[in-house]
Amino acid sequence: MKRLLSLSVIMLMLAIVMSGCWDRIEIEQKGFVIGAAIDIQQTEEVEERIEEVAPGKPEGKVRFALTQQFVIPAGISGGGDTGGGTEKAYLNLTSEGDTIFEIVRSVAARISRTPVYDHNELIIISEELAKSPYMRYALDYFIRQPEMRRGTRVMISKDDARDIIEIEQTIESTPVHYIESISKNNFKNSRMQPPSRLGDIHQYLLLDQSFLIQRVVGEKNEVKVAGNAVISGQDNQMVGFLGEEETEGLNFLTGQVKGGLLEINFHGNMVVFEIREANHELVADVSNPERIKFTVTVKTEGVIAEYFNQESLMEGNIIEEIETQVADEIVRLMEDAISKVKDDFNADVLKFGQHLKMYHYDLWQEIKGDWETGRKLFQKVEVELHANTTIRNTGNIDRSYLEGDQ
Amino acid sequence: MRSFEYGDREIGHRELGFAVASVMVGIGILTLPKQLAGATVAADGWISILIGGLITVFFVYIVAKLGARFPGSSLLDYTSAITYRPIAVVLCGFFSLHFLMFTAYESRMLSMIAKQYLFVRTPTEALNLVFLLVVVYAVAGSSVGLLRLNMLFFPFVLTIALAVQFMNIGFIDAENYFPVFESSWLQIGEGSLHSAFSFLGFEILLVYMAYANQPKKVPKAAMLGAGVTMAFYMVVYLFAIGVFGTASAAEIQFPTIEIAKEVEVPGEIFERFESIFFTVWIMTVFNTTSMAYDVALHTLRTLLPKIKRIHMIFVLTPLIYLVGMIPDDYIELEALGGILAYSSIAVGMFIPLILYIMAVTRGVGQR
Repeated sequence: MKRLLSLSVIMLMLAIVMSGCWDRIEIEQKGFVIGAAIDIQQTEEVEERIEEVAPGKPEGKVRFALTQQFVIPAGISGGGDTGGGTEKAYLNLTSEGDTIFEIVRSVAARISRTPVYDHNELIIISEELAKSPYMRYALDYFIRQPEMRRGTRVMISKDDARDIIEIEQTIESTPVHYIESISKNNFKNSRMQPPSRLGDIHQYLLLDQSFLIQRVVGEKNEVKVAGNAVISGQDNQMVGFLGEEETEGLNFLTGQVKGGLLEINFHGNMVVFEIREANHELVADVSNPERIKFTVTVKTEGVIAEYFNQESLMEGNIIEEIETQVADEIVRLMEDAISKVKDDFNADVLKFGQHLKMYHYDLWQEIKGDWETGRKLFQKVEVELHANTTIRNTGNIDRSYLEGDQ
Repeated sequence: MRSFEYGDREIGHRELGFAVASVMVGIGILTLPKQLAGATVAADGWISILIGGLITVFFVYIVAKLGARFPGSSLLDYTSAITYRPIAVVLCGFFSLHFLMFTAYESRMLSMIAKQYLFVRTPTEALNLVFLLVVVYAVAGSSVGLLRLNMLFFPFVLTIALAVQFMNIGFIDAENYFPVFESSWLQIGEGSLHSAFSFLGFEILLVYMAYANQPKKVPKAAMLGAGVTMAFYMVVYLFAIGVFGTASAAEIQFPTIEIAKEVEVPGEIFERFESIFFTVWIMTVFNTTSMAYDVALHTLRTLLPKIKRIHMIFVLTPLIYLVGMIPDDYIELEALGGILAYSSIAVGMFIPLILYIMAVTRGVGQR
């Protein structure tokens, strides 16, 4: 009897405890958000409506438009058997509001599923927003919410951000996956920056450090990663962008080159040098804090990838001449990048300040207020550039055609 | 109906070493990187962990040595032997109160963090209740069983927690570790205080030494246990700084959880690695909490031997639950944690040190 009683008590407890799950959402009921695009938007229509419906509502300095991309699992797996073959694998929903959270909540009222942000992979910010002081406002929500991840990629779009995540390409099932996969291709290309992670951006914002964010451009049915937006450390606003060549020079300056190619015009014809290895050394001479001198030495190794001339590479000192010319080209790229970020943008994306902080900490503590702002010591910096190139190999052949063949 | 019981009510020195290591890993592991990043420059906090750890190891030695002088006797017995019975009664009362508060704090903190990351819509009250019920189930049995559980759990906790850390090795930016040795001694000192606080809990040995079958071997094992935990914290700290940088780590509420969230397994099949980290972390907090409660019950039983243990649990658990629910928010909870850290220093460091010196000078107990 006693046994029966205790058993029934246990059964009762189990029934109560095991069904009492507050947080249960069936997976079919979840709407996975995989990407977000943020624009600045000020629609008068919406403003009037708010004025009407909620006259006392507190207003922010800016209104955002957030586009969220939901993934539809049925669309990804094909869904051919049920006849839903034309179904898209994603759904974009745009809403407008003073804060990001407000928009997120208002979108939840428009979609049949519960939005879940655990798998958010990409945030695209329009250039207009990046150039305003409000980019940091827009990012706060994504850094703060516990379900978000600091590994989320961030990119800047030339035009409206919402248009970018509409662009579909057949290889990837959703626009977000498509954009994300191109952003990762930097290891093949010395003209790209590694994708920016939200956590890193948080760090830069906290340190008031200038930084770069990949910039995307949408053209018809294609998205292209084109250069990098420069965000100034002074006010956390975008001050301009670096083109592909300038990015390449910058990558040489900061030692981020992993591979890639350099073209030179040698004796009237093009020669392509493929970078296989690049070393980088940065030394600061701080004897005069008013005019700090940085010496950058870049050493590259590589092979000839394409050669249009008829002269034999084995003859004389042709290889040496090409080597010098490639080295000059590297110096030219670096000079262009320096003049752009130093004189035009006054944004230390070269990480010179970071170098001073790491190796000349006491000096940095004194001058960090006068680096980009105040006395603008960054602009007074003197840079000495050295490049050294070694050609290890000419490929399978020496020449592809001989003299007189023309 | 006969139930199975362990023949021996004794415990080996190795189990006690595990118990010390396990009780030290608690809430502190989540917040220590943040506190150190706020106090020191770049990655200099490792010096603080080392100093805090060495101080802890020293006091673990004192506590274990003190217990080893009085094999098999309870805290009340040997404090009475060293001082006078009234003083011993007051000390034991303070000791039990400290650990009851500690139980309340740990379980509330756990339910708060679980709510923030895992059960967004479940009320904290429910989470706290469920966790306390499991703790009650654990302490209703024998202490020896509880201590043996550490030996089962701790290797898993350590392996999985370290694996989660090392999966982030690709995200480490070496620049975050520079400059080195730029913190002032004041900053290092502040950091050391934070690390010493996060290591507290080893004072459970004051009670558990009575179970040791070879008390002479315990000091070494316990110091080793404390050392393992110190090394573990060091790894966690260095990963947090390497991945986030000092500026971000100082702003993130629980850097260690964020580290677990950072993990990206190639292939993108496994995301949300933090759930695995949460599992092992809750295991170790469960061990910490149940040992704290068990120790408090033990000491209270020596003060009031007539009351049955199970009755004591039935009276105290609702009180612990209510006390745990008093702080309104995270800030008040942190304040409670601060008070506990200071009382822990009294219970785990000053009192044992004074008792030990008195025992040695007056020649009480075995040598």
